[in-house]
Amino acid sequence: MLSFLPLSPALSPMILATALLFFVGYGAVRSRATYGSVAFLALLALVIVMDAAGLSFAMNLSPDRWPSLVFDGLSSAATLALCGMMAAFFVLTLGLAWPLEAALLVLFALLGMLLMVSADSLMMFYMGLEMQSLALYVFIALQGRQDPPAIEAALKYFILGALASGLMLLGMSFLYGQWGVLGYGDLLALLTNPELPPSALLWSTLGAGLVLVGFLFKLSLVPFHMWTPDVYQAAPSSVVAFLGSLPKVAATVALVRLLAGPFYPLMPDLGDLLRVVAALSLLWGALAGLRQSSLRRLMAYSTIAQMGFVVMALSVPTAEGMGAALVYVVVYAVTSLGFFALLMRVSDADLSLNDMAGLVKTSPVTAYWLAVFLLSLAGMPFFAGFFTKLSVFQAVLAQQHYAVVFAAAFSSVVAMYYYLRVIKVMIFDDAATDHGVVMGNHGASLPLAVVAVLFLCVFFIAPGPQMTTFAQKLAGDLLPQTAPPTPAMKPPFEKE
Amino acid sequence: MGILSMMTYLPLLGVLGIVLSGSDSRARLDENVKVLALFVSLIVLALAVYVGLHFDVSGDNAANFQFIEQVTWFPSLGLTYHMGVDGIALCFVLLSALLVPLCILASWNSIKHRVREYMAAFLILETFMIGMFCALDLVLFYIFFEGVLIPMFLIIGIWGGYRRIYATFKLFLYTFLGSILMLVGLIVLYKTTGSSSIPDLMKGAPALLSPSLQGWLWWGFFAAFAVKIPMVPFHTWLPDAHVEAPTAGSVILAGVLLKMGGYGFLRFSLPMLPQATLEYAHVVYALSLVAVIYTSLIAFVQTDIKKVVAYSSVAHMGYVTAGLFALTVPAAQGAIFQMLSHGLVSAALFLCIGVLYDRLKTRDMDQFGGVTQVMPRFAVVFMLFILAGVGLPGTSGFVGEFLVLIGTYIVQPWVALALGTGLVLGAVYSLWLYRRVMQGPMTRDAVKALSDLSRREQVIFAPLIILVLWMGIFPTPVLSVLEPAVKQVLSPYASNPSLAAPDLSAPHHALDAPQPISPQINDHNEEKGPQ
Repeated sequence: MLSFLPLSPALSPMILATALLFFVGYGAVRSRATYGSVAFLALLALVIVMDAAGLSFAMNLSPDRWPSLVFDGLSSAATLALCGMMAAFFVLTLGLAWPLEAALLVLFALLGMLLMVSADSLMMFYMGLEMQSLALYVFIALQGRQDPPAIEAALKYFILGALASGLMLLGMSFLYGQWGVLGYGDLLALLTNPELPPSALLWSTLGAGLVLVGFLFKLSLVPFHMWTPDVYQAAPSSVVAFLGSLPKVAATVALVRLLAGPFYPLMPDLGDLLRVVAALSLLWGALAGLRQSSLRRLMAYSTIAQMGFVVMALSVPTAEGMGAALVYVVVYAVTSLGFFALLMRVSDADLSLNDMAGLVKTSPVTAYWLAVFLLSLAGMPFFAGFFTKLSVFQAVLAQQHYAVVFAAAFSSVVAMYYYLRVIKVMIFDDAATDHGVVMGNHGASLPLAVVAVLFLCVFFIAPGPQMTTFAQKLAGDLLPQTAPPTPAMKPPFEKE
Repeated sequence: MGILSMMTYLPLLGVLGIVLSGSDSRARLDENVKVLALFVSLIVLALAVYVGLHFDVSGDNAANFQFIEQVTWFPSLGLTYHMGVDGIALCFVLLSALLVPLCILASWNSIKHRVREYMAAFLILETFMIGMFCALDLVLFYIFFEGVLIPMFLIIGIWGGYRRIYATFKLFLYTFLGSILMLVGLIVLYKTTGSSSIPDLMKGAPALLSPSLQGWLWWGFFAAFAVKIPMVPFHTWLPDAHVEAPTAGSVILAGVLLKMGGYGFLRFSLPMLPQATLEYAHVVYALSLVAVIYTSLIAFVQTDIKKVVAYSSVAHMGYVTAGLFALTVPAAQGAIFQMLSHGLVSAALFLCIGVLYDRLKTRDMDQFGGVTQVMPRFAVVFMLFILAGVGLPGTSGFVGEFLVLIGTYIVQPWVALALGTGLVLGAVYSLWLYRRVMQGPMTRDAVKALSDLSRREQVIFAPLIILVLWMGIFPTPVLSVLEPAVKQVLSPYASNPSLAAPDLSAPHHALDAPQPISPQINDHNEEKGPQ
């Protein structure tokens, strides 16, 4: 007997979105009031979903399987995180005059993400990914009527995304062609065979590598990062707040499922690939950010570097590494959501760095809190960003991968320069004009930012230690129980 | 919550008070904030003195860390919240707690805009400084070590001089580069030994680390501490930061932040990595000698008064690093004593420069001359600290330099000899500075209109004068607090045959025994009476 309770979080946005589609309909007045009420409805629904997710969370620490779906601790925790952030996003957009479709699209994107985090087969995962991606392409383009660059950005995102999806499907077809199965469990069982013929290993590694390409695109990693700066610059702050947070969490959780599941036996090779990608992203994200004059392009490069940390953690197939990646990406998502929410107080459109000059005079709160977000991204103690970076370093150093750690250290120093530059413009410089920075009015962005700032500042006392322990446990449960022996701790730097 | 944590986090409570404070009049609000900040920092000082008085100096516990607090924290990352002080840390905690109220007093009238933020930044700085000297967990240490940068970045960047942006970025990025390499080193240290407790690692780490790993770690730590202390050639951030920082910022920078580097060497490099330390000590010697001689020469050609003192700081830190890596008890004691003394003396010198700058808004030597005639009280104070910086017997500067020279002479006579030339050079540029600024004919009208020290300024200088003289005339209490801790730090070297020290376990015999030193210096030795 299948239980519907664990499925309910995924079902609810679907039901809600469909209902909205039919009852509110396409011809409806695109007024602020309609949007507001829809967003409010969605918010209520999400609160119910979060309750359900919390309940299934309590019940499902032992996995509960549906065809192609699995509901375990990880999926429940991810559902909770995603729905919570989605609720925050709806709060954030309540005051905006958005078309009705925006709410529908983000709900469908949420549905896609919820399927991604619970997917137990490549096909289900791909469906979730596509549902999320297509909704997001349109979501970015929605603003295009007033703002042509948004169309360009959406198109870029769409074309590159379609290419990445195509490569991913190709990879899946390799895997299916080799083994004839798509379920994670089946694949793992077939791949753990110690006497794998070399051709099978080759096709499997190739297929898995191509599947990873789709992830690298979603997580905006070098060399699949090109869309990120354009989208970040062209889309409104509110859209970027969404793009920078939820999809990253969903993609990371799905990636953890794959790397700790079916791809685990291939990890020696895939791990090297991921480390190379991580190092490139860390370096390029830091170096290319140096010359940016647009604040949001700068943040896009910062994202690339940050995601480099996530992939660096994922490249070590241990509970420590996977757990570090999960906590890292959640903290990053909260930071990003809070940062862009706060930025909306200044402007929903793109800003050059100089537009921020003297912000501290107009609104000290905004300036200092933005500084907290930036310092946390930069990994300064005692903000949350430091502890997540620390856990990544620990996990990677425990497996003696030194090169990528040095790339990360170098990247941190270089990236620190541009984070400091933003802080300098906001806090040290005088305003470019007499009236200073003009502040917009977004009632909801301030309370959201308060929550995010508090989260970053007290992370080391309250949720941090627990989250880290728990994420390691979740990741440890996923990893194959008969794990091949991890290299014993030998003194690093010793010559073999 | 233990007393160390109370001392560490009390300033944060003060920051909360500052953030929440409000008043209808701006001037009254600023006044209230200043009083609150001063009050909080004085309580911290009182707590530090309490810790000092209850510290077990002579009992069985003397060499151990005391006032221990240990709580589990981040179990999955292997972190514990672990605080405690030994004799070395205690001295630095006292120094930090003393300088912060003086800084707040010194900024009373000179900081006119964003007073609330200024006071908040200083209190946050105090939290990080005291926390760093008390931290006994690797990562906790790193957190405080690194956290100091944030308030310092703001202090120089907001209230600094004309090139403040350049200076503050340089300070931040230099230090950050060094400390992130240290972080990698700390994690490798933790992952290899399985312990993140500094006291345990001080005892157990040398046995667990292979020589090659020790070498790598040593350079990782060196990157952080050599930049912080700073050693030539990593010192270039310091003159810029000093020149651009507001007076109180320079005081903290010279008084405490530089000492973090020396403290780091004492906590990590010396006790945990003995083989690497012996292997690379000559590098430190060489860099220290270059620092002492080269920066003394550079100081001599500066026209900005602050730059002279900034370069002299680098030179003094050259003594410290040479003393630390001589690996003998008197030299290490001397190096620590020198750090403490320099903390007081350079802080006082920067305050003196602040006094002049507040009045004339310039630090160019040529704009002064003959100040003695209009500011006699100030002239005496300035003279005293200039001489203390030179190392005049009877001031604290002498004791430190003398012990360093003795301790270094035991193992490396040539190094001691070269260090001695630095003493002469120091006297040259210091006295030259004093002559050009304070003496000579009084030609400028601006100088004629100068007023002598105000009551507030006298209050600031009084404790510094007393301490500098006390530490110079009767250093025994400080040395006896330091001695057990220093012996503990140097215990891995006690039986090392490569150190030609006659008897390292009895340093004062080394002092009392006839040494190839001129009898005149021995007289001073008796005068200050180390035992």
